[in-house]
Parts: sequence; C-alpha cells; structure tokens
Amino acid sequence: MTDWRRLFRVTGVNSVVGILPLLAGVLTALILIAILLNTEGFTMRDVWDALYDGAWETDGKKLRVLINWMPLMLCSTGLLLTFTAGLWNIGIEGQLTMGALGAAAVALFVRHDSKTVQLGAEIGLACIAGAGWGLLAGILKTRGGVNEIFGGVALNFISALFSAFLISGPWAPERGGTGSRTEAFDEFTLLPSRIIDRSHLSNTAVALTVGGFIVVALILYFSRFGLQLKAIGKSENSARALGIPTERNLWLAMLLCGGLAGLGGAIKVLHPPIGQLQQNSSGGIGFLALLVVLLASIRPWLVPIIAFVFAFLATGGQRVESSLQIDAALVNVLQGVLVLAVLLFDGIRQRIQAEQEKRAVAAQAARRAAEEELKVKSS
Amino acid sequence: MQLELRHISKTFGPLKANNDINHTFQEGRIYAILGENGAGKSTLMKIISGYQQPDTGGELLINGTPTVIHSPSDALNNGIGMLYQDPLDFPPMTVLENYLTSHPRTGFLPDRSEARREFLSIAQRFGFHLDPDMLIEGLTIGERQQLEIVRLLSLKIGFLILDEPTTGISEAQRQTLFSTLKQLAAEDKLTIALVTHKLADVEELCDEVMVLRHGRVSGTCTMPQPPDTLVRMMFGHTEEAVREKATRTMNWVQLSRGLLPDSDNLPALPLGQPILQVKELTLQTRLLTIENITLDVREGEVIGLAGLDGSGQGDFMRQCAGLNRVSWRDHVMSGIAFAGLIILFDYLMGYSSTVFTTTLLLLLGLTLGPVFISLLSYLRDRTEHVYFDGIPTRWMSYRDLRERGLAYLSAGRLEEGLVTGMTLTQHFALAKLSKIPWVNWFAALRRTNEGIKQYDVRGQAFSPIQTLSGGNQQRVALALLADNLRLAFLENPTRGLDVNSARNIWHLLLSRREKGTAIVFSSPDLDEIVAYSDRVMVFSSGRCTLVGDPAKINRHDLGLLIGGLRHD
Repeated sequence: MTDWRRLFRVTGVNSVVGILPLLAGVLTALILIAILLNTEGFTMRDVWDALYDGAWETDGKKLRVLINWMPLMLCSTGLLLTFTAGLWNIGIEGQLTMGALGAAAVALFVRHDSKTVQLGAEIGLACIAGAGWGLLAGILKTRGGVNEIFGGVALNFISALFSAFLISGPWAPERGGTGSRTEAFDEFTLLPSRIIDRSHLSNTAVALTVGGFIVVALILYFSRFGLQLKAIGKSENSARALGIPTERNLWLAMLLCGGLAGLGGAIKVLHPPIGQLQQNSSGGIGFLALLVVLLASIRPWLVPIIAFVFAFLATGGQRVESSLQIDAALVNVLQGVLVLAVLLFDGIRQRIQAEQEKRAVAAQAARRAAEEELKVKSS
Repeated sequence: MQLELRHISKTFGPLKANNDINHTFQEGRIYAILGENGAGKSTLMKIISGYQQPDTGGELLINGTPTVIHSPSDALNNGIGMLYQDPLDFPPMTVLENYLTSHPRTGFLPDRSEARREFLSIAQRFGFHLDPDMLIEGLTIGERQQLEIVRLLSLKIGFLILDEPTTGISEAQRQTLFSTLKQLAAEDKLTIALVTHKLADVEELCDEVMVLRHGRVSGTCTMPQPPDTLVRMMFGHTEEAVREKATRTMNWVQLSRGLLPDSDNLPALPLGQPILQVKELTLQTRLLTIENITLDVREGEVIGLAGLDGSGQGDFMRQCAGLNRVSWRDHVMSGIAFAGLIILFDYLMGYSSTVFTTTLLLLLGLTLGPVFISLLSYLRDRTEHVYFDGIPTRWMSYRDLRERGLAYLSAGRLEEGLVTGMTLTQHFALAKLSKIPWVNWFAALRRTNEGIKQYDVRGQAFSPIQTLSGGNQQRVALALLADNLRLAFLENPTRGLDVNSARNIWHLLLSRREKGTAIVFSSPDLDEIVAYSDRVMVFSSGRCTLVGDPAKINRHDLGLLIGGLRHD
C-alpha cells in the first residue's frame, strides 16, 4: 500500500496536501484584493457580480470562457514540458504568433476541395511554424549559449514585428485595410463549429486541446523522455553523465512546446467567430500560460483548473471594466497578486517539506546507529 | 581567541547529531577534530560557524563571554571564520574582486588600490603567489584556498575552522598551508580547528586532538600520539587487524589495503584483451599541451593517474571518455534540424526580408559550427588516436561509448553524476539504457532494491539522493554502472570519504575488476595510487610518463616523477 503511494510520488503525482498552499495563497490573495478594492470604493461582491455577469451568466458566455481557455491551455501544456526540462520558454508568445501566422497563410492563400485536408494543412503548418520557432530558441540555447529567456524575448519581438509587417503589407486586405487585421478568412477554412446560444463551439478544437494535454501528461508521468526531462531540469551535467542525450531532449521539448503553442495560435485565429489574423493576435496568452504553469508548480493535473480560472478572469474582466468603470488592468493586478501569494505559500511548503525530509533522514541514521550499537554490544 | 563549548547538543528528530559536547579551544593552539562520517563533526562546525543553532541549554563562550551566533556573518563579526572544502568564491570574478566582496570597508565605491595593497601584504607574509587580477576560474583549488585565507584574515578573525583543507591540493601547496597555519597560531594567536580524515595531516600539524563518535566527544589528547590510539578513539569497535595495521602505517589507504583479500597479489590477476588504446594523443588542457600520450589498457587492469592537481589527468579521462565531443548522431540531427528550418522559413516567409536572412545565417553558424570544427580537426589530423574496444572513437560521444560499456564518474558526485532531488529509483530508471519509450517503474524498483542490497547502500529506494552520505552516494553511482562494464574512468573515486567508506568503495571496484572491467582512476592521494594500481601514468608539467615496473610504483619514485625530477 505504502509502496504504491510512494511509487506514485516517484512518478510525480503529488498528494492532496500539495495543493493546500495553493488554497492558502488564493485565500490570501482574495483578502488582499478585497482590501485593494475597498480603497477604490468597491466590494468583492461588485466585482464578482460583474465577473459572473460577463463570463458565466449564460451558456454563450460560458462558451466564451471555454474558447479563451483552449489556447491558454495548449500553451500551458507545452510549457509543462519546457519547465520540467528547466527551460523558461518565455518565447512561447512568439511561438503562438508564428502558429497563428502559419494557419493564416494557408487559410488565406491555399484552397483544397476537402475541408479535412484544408484544416489539416492549416493546423499542420501552424504546429510546424510554432515548433520551428521553439526549436530556434532551443538551438540558440544549446549551440549559441543564448539563455532561452533572452532568445525567447528576441524571437517574440521578431514574430510580433513580422506579424505586423504581413498584416499591414503583403496580407493587407485589398480594400479598406486599416493595418490592424487581414481579410476575414473564408467560412470554409474555419474550424467546424456549432452555435449554442449565439456562441460558436468547435468540438475539433476542444478535442485537440484535451488530447494534447493528455498526451503531455502521459509523457510526463510515465515516459522515459519525461523522466529524462526531469533529470535535465534538475541537473543538466548529471543528466549527461548518466548518458541522457541532453541536447536532443531539450530540442525536442522546445519543439513540442512550440508545436502546442502553434496549435493554440491556430485555434485562436481559426475558431469562429474571429476567423482572421489580427494585430497582436497572441494577446499575451503565452505570458499568462507561464503564470499558469508557475502556479501549478509543474503539477500537470492542476494546469487545466488554473487555466480555466484564468480564462474566466480574462473573459469576465472586460465586463468589470465596462460596468464598474475599473480599468481592466485591475484584473491583471488581481492575477499578479494571486500568483505572488501562491508562490509565497509554495515556498513555505517547500521549506517545511525539506525540514521533514531532513528529519526523516536523521531518524533513519539514528535507528541505524542504535542497531549498530546493539550489534557491537552483543558481539 | 578562546572558545568554550558548554553542553552543546543538536537534535534532528530522534537523532542526536551532537550530544552534550563540552570542550575548550585554547588560544594559539591547533586542534584536529577527528571522527567517522556521521560522527557529528560537521554539525558541530556548523554550530560554531553560525549555520545552525544548538539546542537550548547549550552555550558558546568567546573569551569567557556567552555569545549567541545567529548566522555565518554573525560568526565572522565575532571573529570566527570557516574555510570550506570547496572554496566559497565567485569564479567569474578576479581575485581582488573576490577579496573585496566581504571586505568590511567596502562601501559603495570600494578603494581598490588600498585593498590591493592590503591583499598583497597579507599574501606576501605567507608566501602566497596570487595575482590580484587573475580570474578565479584560472586558479587551482589550493590557490583559491589561499585567497580565502587572506580574505578571512583581513576580517581579523581569531578562530579559523578548516574543513578537509588538504583535499585536492598539491603537496607544495599543502606545505605552504601548514606553515601558514603554524605561523598564524604562533604569531597571531589564532585558534585553529582542522576537520579531517587524514591522520598524516594531524600528525604533522596539530597540537591537540578531539575525537567525536556518535555525536559525543569520545576522547581528547595532546599530540604526538601513536596513530593506533587515534584510530581506536575514532572507530572504537574496529577489529584488532585495523589497529595492527594502523601501528605499521598510519595512512588510511594502506590501512584499507591490508583489509582487502589477496591485496598483495593485485598484479597477479590475469589480464585480458586490450580494451583502450591511446596512440600518440596530443592533449590540450587549459594551461598545458601534453604531447605523445600512449597507453594500452587491458581488461582487468587498474591504471592510476598521478600528478599534481590540474596536470591533465582529468582532461585525459574526459577526452578518452568522449565527454566534450558531439556524437555523429547529433551532427546528423543538427543537419536535419537546420535543413528543416531553412525549408520551413523559406516556405512560410517567402519574403527575403533582412531579418530572416540574418536569422538563417545565425542558425547556420550555430547548428553547423560544431560540425565544421570537428571536420576541420579531422582534416588537420586524420590519424585515429583513441580506440575503445578496437573501435575508433573520434566521432563518438560519451553516450555512444557508454552504450558500449564505458563509464566515467566525476569527482563532483552531485554536480556531474547524480541528480539532486531525484530518488534512487528514479536514478536506476534513468541509468538503464533502453529504447522502450516508457518506464517500467516496477522493474526499476526491483533493480533499485537489488542494487541497494548488493552494494550495501544505506538508503531506501525512495530516498532523494542528496539525503545520502557521500560514501553511499558513491556506492549508488557504482551500482548505476552497467553490468557489462568494460572500462571505468574514475576521477578521485574516494573524495571526501572516511576510511571505512573508501575501503568499501575499493572493494566494490575491485570486485568489478575480477569480471574483466578495466579501471583508470586519478587521485590526489599518492598512497591510494600506489596501493591499487597495476601501472601508473604520471602527469607532470606537460609530460606524461608510464610506470609499468611494480618495483617502481612507490611513494618515493612516483614523487620524484611528479616533482619533475626524473623522466624515464
């Protein structure tokens, strides 16, 4: 029984106690936020009402949360891999943008009779473009010695500029271009969706998101690759000395992460009702995903929940702005407070855990010493 | 400074790491603190240097005044300084900058010229040849130690703790260190406490000895003492044989050698096929170029690499093990990645924007750089220099060679070898070279428990590796090596281990040897090399000499070679 539980711990499934600090952090954050709101003359109740009103009141609004959830979820899923490998893949924002560009390129200029092939090509190129962008950051890291954070930031810039160049230049609509969006894609090139309560929902997108997450979770929990990534994340030198192909694994992690982010970008632009490439189509989702994974402290099973909360906040935030006349930036502040509080409590948890481990080891040593003393006495 | 410990105890859960320790360190004396691994030496030193607090009831008296030390910087303020086994400095900075980091008068704008004068005057007093503008990266461990001593002295300390200071430094540096310490005790009235395993150091340097066992002071005495007295105080229960040997020789390696079965017939083991052939290899190390290294290692043979720290032994092993090389598989992989990215961007962008041209050129340089370097060196010198098991190794990385039965264990076990934060089971799962994409945790657990039993590891399958003691970590590292091991490169395999642990490690190594595994190891301890090697390679100031005659494998002859006094 205990062996079973410990084996689970080895594979990375943490006990329920592990989320206590998360709950404590959320609680602290809520208290801080309440104080913050109070100074502005609002109560938590006002904000909650506005959030509920904006993101949960009707089925259509719930669907909108789900649509925001999907790209965020895909990015977070990809980041699980790179975080495990010890990489701060801040370039995820650019990988998402490249994915959106890849999907848009096919949607705008390629036409195939079969809708399946058409969509496959769009999503495929999005994944490849995102993956290539990720691999680029990986190559810069392992071969060029450029820290993935700096490389990622630079690549984010390049992809944003490139996206702006395409939208205002070669991909600009022929008439009435404002320089902020391309022409709307043909209905035929969008993800198949049904309409519920005036909102669209594409089952394909949901299936891709959930499927991607399940595959990555399986990789992290059960695969050799996942275990090797863990080892690389903890100590790259030691991993190499254990015979793990570190460079190959790091590239693969970046590649997969970029691919998932690219898929997120594709869903972002191909999911109705958007259906076009807009300026700043990434919308900071990549950065938000970094926070999601930080909050989950690389515990995969927590990621969907946290991503959902974030998607809810992002969706409802707009209503908060309009109905309470609070700047939407407040929602970002709320998220920031949340992240800080949870990280704080996680730090406390880690300290306690380390102390416990130390005690357990000491106890073991004491038992041994006592046994030896006995042996000596008896002999 | 006089330091008195009164009723110092430290409890971790049910373990009493220190149990009612009472001792007075008198001013101007040099103390040795002896004890087995886990006897409580480091806990005691951590309490004195402020890293940990003693349990309530214990006190420290500095010159008769009860003092509570809250932190290491507090300890420094009270005049207690500690010299760690691995120097606590900042390698990317220069010697002077390191000196300045903890300088009391370092303001916002430190007075560099004043600090330089001060630094040089202290260094000169003890005969340290340290260049203040040199980067720490370029210094040996011994020189870094000297820097730390200068730094601590500038802080006007009165009590100096040294943790295994002679590990990893040369004989000459050891002599300088000892004369410095003696001078400090005699002239500056510094109290010095030396934590060590090496009885030779104690004999040579210390005035007083304090021995810890199971957290208690098991004895104190004034030097000189016959070594067997010390050994008895340290180990207590050790068998008669150990004491007998200890009276004959006080070095721990010889002491352990006496305990090994058939140790006197080491070279008698029949040697098998040549496993490693090195032909006229030229080795470029950080400071030296060593030319014309030739060596044949046969199955079951033990080759010791002797020489001063940093003479190229480590580089030689890393070179032969392929650690700094890129595998041909990775060359191919990077080629594919590069081609893929070019095609992708070409298709995706289709616009010859400057940004992308630049990016592509950058990529070309980065991905294919190592390939070009390898190719260039191949064109310059097409002869193969290192054969492993008859196969040329130029295009093979460590991973490729590892699959064929080669292994390399670095001296830094947790820096390069074992993964801090992972459990033993995870290590066993990682070390299994397998093509199956998933991990069979049950098989890994079984292998772990077998390994624990076979190698007598004191730890459990689910213990994180860093919670094990040094000796047990080393045993795990050995247990992780493949069963079909053909050749092992071991860098200082018994670093930081006590007598019993070191003996056990060698026992495990030599049992591998009986199965035909060849061992190439380096050690800063000449006695260890003399005790275990069939043949010895001596690295000395850019030259490399192979000593095959067993009669010449002794301290004296090897010492002459290391000192560069003889080449034959």
